[in-house]
Amino acid sequence: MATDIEKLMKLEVNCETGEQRYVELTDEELAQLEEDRARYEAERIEREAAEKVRQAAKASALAKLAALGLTEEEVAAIAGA
Amino acid sequence: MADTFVLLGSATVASPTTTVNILDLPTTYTDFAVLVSARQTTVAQTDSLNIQTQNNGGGFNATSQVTAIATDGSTSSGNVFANNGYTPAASATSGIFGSGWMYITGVQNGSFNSTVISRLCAITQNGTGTEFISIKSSLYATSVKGIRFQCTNGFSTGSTFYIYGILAA
Repeated sequence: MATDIEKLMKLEVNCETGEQRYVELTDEELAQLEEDRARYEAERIEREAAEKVRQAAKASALAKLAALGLTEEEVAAIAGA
Repeated sequence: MADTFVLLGSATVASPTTTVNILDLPTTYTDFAVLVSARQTTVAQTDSLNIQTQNNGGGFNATSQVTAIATDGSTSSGNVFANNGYTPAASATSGIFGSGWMYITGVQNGSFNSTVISRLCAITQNGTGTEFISIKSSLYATSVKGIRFQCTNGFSTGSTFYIYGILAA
């Protein structure tokens, strides 16, 4: 995944001295980062797909309520739309 | 509560980075509290903010995390980062940061895993766009020496992290 970070660095803070410094990620940390990226990207896609399904179901329900003769205000009152 | 809530360290991101490590935490506190203000570097995508604790052996990748439990009931186990919330995308209004807190209990118990309870949100701006609020609890190392924050797309400049130590009083 593209980012605007040219070098993959980590910020380290030493609580004993207060020193802050940037250090390049190790090969192991880079591998872990790639693994985490892939996993969270999959989770994001799944989450967004579920949200689309939920929104479609809500729109369908609101349309059915309107078809029954409820006004927009009445639909909003019971559905929080 | 003069000595019961003490600022131990802080980090402010000066140039984008995927990882922020708070190291060499003192061993005299029973709990840690973390305040986070963060956003990330990739446009139009809200990213997870993940944390991992450092055990007494110094490693972040040993058995420092046992199980992560999400509020939806799902769990993940093993040596992985826990998703503790979300950060706003770079497309959010300039200057808008997601805010949140984490409370880490029993950080020096030695026998029982410490527990992280967190709430982090990625409010884009004024209710427009997609909003995410996450509340999670996780189990971590029995003795916490450091805390690692990760945003796989990168924390943007200006993201801040404050760690407080709490004594049982």
